[in-house]
Amino acid sequence: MLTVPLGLSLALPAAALADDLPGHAAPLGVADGLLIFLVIPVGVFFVVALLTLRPWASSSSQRYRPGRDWSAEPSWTGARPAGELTEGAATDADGKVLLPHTAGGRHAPVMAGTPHQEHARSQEEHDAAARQAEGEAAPPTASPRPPTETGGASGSW
Amino acid sequence: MAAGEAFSFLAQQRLDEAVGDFERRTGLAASVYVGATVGDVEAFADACIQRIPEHREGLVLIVVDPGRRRTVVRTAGPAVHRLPESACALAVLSMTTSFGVGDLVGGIVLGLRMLTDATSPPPAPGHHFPPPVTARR
Repeated sequence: MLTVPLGLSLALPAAALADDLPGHAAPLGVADGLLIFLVIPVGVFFVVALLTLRPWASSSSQRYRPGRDWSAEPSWTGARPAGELTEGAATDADGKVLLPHTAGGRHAPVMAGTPHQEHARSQEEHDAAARQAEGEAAPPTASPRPPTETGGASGSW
Repeated sequence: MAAGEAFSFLAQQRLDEAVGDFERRTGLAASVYVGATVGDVEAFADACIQRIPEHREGLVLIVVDPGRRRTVVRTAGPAVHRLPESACALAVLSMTTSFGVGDLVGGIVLGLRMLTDATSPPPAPGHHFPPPVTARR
């Protein structure tokens, strides 16, 4: 019960004394208070938020998140397939494999020939079978260099 | 930088340094492909490695398909004998561990370092390797 009057009796003389001390600053105005306690903290908050989110940097490269689709352009580092892979894709000699081109782009490789190539290949196979059935020797074909021996390992995550 | 590129400038720089370090220390060529593949990833890697001109002098190809969560390490030429498949499998395991937490560049750099350390020195002139003992394919 006595704490409030006691506190007031102690605080009021102290406040009066503080105003009388030499060098004591004037009481803080409303504008200064708003600037110090509201504008500056909110400004700092927005500056930190802007530096964290960085909307201008979000589209520069794609961040990989496991389980999400990967839509970035194919990327080659170091040695890369030989030069005819510039039209978006390239086929093997027999049209089996299309590889992504090396100069950027979103073309995914396709592991099959075009319908025209498929038709031409099946026609060649048909002709060869017919020649074998007739006992003819197969025509000499250009002998490509044998594929190089390969090794390695694979995995998934 | 155009939108849609796989890596930022700094990330690409890390990859370039890792590839350069591998090539400098082993004398083999290295190639890293990160992107979409269609069909069997291993067949894609085989087709790619045969088309890279350096494959007869010794080449290591790393194919990473983030969308399908598959990675393949392929060796060709003298690299087949200097880099055993067990070392490739260990590098793949380390890479997939990093890929699983979303660190593509870190995984590739780690894999290249492991492959660098596992590569045996080049053979003496005139040396002929025995055929590799492997049951793959």
